[in-house]
Amino acid sequence: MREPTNRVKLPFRVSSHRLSLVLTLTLASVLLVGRAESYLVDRTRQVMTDLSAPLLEAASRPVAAARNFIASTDEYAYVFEENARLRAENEALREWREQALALRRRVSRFEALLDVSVDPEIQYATGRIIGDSGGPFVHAFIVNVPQSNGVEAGQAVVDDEGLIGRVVSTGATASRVLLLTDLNSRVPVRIEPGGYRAIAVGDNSRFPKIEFLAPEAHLSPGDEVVTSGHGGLMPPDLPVGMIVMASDGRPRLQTNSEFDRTSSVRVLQYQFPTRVIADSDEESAAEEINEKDKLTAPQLPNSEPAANDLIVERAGEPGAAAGTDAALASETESAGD
Amino acid sequence: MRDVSQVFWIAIPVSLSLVFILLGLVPVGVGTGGTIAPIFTLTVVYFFAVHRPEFFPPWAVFFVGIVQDVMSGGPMGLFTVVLLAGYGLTHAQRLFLIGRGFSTMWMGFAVVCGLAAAISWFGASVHYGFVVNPLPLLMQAGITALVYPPCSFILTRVNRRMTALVPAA
Repeated sequence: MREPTNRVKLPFRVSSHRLSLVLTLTLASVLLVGRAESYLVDRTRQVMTDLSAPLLEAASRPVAAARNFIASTDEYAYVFEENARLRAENEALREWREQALALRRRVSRFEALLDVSVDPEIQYATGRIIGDSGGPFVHAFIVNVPQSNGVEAGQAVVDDEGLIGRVVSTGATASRVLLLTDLNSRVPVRIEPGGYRAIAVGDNSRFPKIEFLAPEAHLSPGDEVVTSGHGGLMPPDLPVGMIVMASDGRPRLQTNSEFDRTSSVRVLQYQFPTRVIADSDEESAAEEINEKDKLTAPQLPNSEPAANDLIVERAGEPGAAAGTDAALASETESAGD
Repeated sequence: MRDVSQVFWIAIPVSLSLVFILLGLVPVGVGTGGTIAPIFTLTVVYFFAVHRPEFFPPWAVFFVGIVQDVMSGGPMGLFTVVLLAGYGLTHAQRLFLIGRGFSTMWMGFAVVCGLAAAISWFGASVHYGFVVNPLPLLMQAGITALVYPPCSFILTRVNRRMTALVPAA
């Protein structure tokens, strides 16, 4: 009795299996080609990251412990050489410290003379890397720093060597960090000592490209790369890496940080200085800002602020991306007129 | 009775895949630039497509692929296409692979990994609109092929438990 039923059922099962495979494959292809990257996908991604964060944290602890153990074993083997190297470095650093202290005193005197307001101190949140995307097309970390610690999308993330990337999404238990090497990473940088501005563009290789460089820029291998602060998301002058020349003669960025060795990171809660007021009397400055807020741009009264009454353009307004220095310079020029 | 418990049995490979997805996200710190982790889920898909396709239907593979796409942060649909294509190829060769020794199974898996890399390269190139570098994909395919033995060890034990309860079709 059962045999005929099975004979009918089996071909049906096979064909339904094939049909199901074709349908799901088609749907997946549509998702891929149609670039289904919506707000919903981003939110789902963050929710799932938050849900998996405790598990990832638990799983990453023994791995981190093993890595630390291996690293410490390595260090133990070279402890004498390392000791001698550190002594020499310490001596050199002591000299640098004296110079730095002297310079700081000097800068403080100048700041006092010019009555300059400095940027507020950058707050930060420290976290551990608990997840690594590990894909050939995505270079991202999951760090156990939640939104409640003041973390927001766009904030710069550094390790003890320098910039590693920026926060792309944040949730209740963890945040995702896009690395400098990722295909979607674009970071405005400045190349020293020439001061050339460029964009470090990730291309999934180990060495991000340096693009939008001025034609007259002359770069040499070893030139230092720091953040320019343009765009207002990242603080300026964060160390990023140095210039290396690719085999095609084009400059590339070698990051200071070795991402596969990084275990702890800091998220810098940098606030773009929307107002930098060089006025010792804060109350009168605040009143003045309120007054100016009420006025529209064409109605600004004889917009010639006093030299010690500098107002930097607001973030989001045209020219805000030019950064604090440029704004200060233009304001000073207009004041000088 | 068997139909009623079907969902329970499907949950086994799906759960294993989810655990493997998390395993792939654990930062081990080995790689070049960004680390490259193996596609652990491909081992589950391959194994079940050969031994127990009835407990790992295409829609379950689709679900696993979507979860992996979401968790990895990569292009949506890429892992799903890769896993489904690997599943389709393996299922088509099921009669050849079933009952073969470990080395044949491993070689079969290596072929599937190669196919996965090729599909991944093509899919990513279409998605991004330019030809992506195939080297990281080849590296990932190689690493994935290398992790098959330990994964197969776990999966074989799971399959034995399942066979004791529900004989293979």
